[in-house]
Amino acid sequence: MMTTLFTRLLRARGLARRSLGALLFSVALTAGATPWDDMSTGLFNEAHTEFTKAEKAPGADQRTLRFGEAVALLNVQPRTESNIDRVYAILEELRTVNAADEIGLESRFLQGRIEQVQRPKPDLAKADEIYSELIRDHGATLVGQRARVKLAVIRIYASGIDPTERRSRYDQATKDSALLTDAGAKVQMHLMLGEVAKRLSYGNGAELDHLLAAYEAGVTKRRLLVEVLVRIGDLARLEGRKDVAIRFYTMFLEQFPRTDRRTTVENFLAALNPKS
Amino acid sequence: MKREKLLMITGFSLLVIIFFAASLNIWRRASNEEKPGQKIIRIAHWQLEPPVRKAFDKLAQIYMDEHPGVIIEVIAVPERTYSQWFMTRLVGGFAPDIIEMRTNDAAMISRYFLPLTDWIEKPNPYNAQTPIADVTWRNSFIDGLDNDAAYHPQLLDYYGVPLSQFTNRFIYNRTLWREVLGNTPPPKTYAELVELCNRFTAEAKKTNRPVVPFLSSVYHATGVYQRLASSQSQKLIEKLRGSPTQAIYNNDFGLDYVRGNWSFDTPEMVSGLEIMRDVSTLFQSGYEAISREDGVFKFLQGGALMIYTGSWDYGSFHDQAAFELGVMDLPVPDPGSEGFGQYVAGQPSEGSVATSATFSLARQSKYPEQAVDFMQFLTSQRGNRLFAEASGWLPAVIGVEPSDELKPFYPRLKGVRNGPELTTLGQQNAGRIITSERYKLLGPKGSVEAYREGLKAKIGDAIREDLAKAVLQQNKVVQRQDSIVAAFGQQARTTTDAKEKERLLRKLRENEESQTLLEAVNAWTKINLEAPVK
Repeated sequence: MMTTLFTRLLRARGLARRSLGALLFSVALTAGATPWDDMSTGLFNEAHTEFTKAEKAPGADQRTLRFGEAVALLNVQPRTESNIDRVYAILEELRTVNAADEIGLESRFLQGRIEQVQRPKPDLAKADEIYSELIRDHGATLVGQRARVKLAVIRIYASGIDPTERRSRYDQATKDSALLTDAGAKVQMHLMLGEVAKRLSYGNGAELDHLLAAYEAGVTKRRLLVEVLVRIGDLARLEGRKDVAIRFYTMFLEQFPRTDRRTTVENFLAALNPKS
Repeated sequence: MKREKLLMITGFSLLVIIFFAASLNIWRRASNEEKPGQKIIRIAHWQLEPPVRKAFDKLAQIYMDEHPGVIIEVIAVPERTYSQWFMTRLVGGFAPDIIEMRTNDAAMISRYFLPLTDWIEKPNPYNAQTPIADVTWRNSFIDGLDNDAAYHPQLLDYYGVPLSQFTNRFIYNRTLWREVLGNTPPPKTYAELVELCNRFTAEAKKTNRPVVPFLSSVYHATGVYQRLASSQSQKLIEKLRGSPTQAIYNNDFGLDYVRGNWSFDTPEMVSGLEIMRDVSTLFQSGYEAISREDGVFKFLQGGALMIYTGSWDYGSFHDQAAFELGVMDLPVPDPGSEGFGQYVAGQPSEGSVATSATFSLARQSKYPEQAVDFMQFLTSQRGNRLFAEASGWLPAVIGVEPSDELKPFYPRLKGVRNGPELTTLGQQNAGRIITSERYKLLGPKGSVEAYREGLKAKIGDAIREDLAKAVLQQNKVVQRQDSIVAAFGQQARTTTDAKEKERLLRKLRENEESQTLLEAVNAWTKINLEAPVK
């Protein structure tokens, strides 16, 4: 009896030791290698704790860590208005020290995001002001180009404007899109403008041009790419641009062979290219 | 006084018994804990159908035989309590290693599950020496994991691998068919189906057989309505989107209603309601009061010629039915045919059927590499073939042929894209109105007119509420992405590894592309909810 109990005790100790090991492993796994890793997988609370802890370490890069703390705090659960105000204040402090380095520019951009989407009641006029300032002062930088995309969304989808004004804002954004040099910003801008052209019936040609520009810049998200390929095929077919339609329909079938649109696209291809 | 004492003793005795039973359970559980050099991998699912449970057990046993030192524990949990069960386990920190997914909540998944993306883009080692040895794990699945259960649309990472794919078909009682209908072939058109059901009813009546042709239930009817009503709106896609290749999802369809692009006077939608009423007259009376389980029970008792259900049921039907089974399609009306053919473009394609029965890896897993190894084994050509054979489910992996019996369930890729129908509007407020008003469509007193009037009166507000809610939900995704984009940006700036930098920039761009378009959808929805934009 005693032997059995002793064996059990030993096993329990072993079990406890292994459980502790597993727990530590699990914590390490959950915590990720850096707080930025945590944040990129959506573990904002953990990232925030890590950033605040790391700030206290001697010789730490305070500016980057403070920025990390602010970005994580933006999505710490539960989300509160006071947290968002605190984030805004930290970002203000960072950009006051240096408005033109990467952290300074990112901080200003995030202030725009706070006004546009993070607050319970967005202040679109304020967001417009911040993005406009970034475009004016740092238009060629990556942040300046991202600001241009976000500003176009605010302006084109503004409420209470007449159709002529909306069209003129769309035309302006189309013109401004030529200033973009970053591939990511180009893709976002042209995909967004292509959607606007479709929603507001600005013509198949306009939508097609935007989608072709987005495709050329390199659509990254696979789910978007499938729609871009087939939509370009459709628009080119409707616009009588046979070669473009054939090229994009063919790519669509090659890259996404299993689809409920296969027979329809094959029929379009047969009609466009009767000899094949 | 005596009675009170007796009650007290009984209560106390019960408490002692329960205490000892619980202790015994814990004791037994402890003896099941892993021994030195042993790894236990637990996999949880909610598939209680006997052949599916057997299939999991069989695969687990084969894996254990080939991997000494690894124990695979299969945990089957009833569907009704599954979500609460695994949530409790995840929060409590004692979750199984591999979990069949039952949620798509981004915050929950990112917190408790590990992305499989790094493994997904490499070949599955268990496919070595097969024709797909060099194919990535992702592309070894028939749909390349292009579905929301495997690839999370907001987290933009792969979180699951599937075991099967499901379609709906008629499963029929072949024995009864022969007895009543002789050598009559399966119907090829909707008109032939109606004729067959009427003939069966007449023949059964002649011989006083208490059998119905088309068994339905509140659960099974939905699939029938969806298939037939969506055939009526195939051409509506082109009208609303300019091409039949485009997609109409629930919020788009709701917004189209708000913007006046369709209504309950739109001929395609009216025809969809008419065919729903028409097919409901083929069901047995009172079908809306019958649950799924009761419907299945009646069919297995030989009380009906056929039932329209999912391929997931076939294995257990096969095990339990005392008669021979057959499988056939539910045909939609022929294009241009009299009755309901005017708005039909063709038989629907099932090319959009995605893989499912998707399993994810819990962050808490003590042995994530071993757990992934088991997932790779399950979803290898060999593993998936064995699973499909034992479970009676369709395979999910390319190159794995379904058995002859299951072939009729295999998705038909030829055909056209189906259109939107009422359930496209979702299951929230609009969905509740659609269901609660449906009694006006069905039964002897029902009519298409009455249902349309009921929907017209109530659904507009419900759709607006659903859209406003969707904007709030989607904005939460946009908010999260601000932090995620900043994190990827910072990581990309600081890494010195060129390959890693490329990966991080790709993730950053994927997030930004998705975020900007979602923001635009939200803004577009908001301004249209204020007043339809022209």
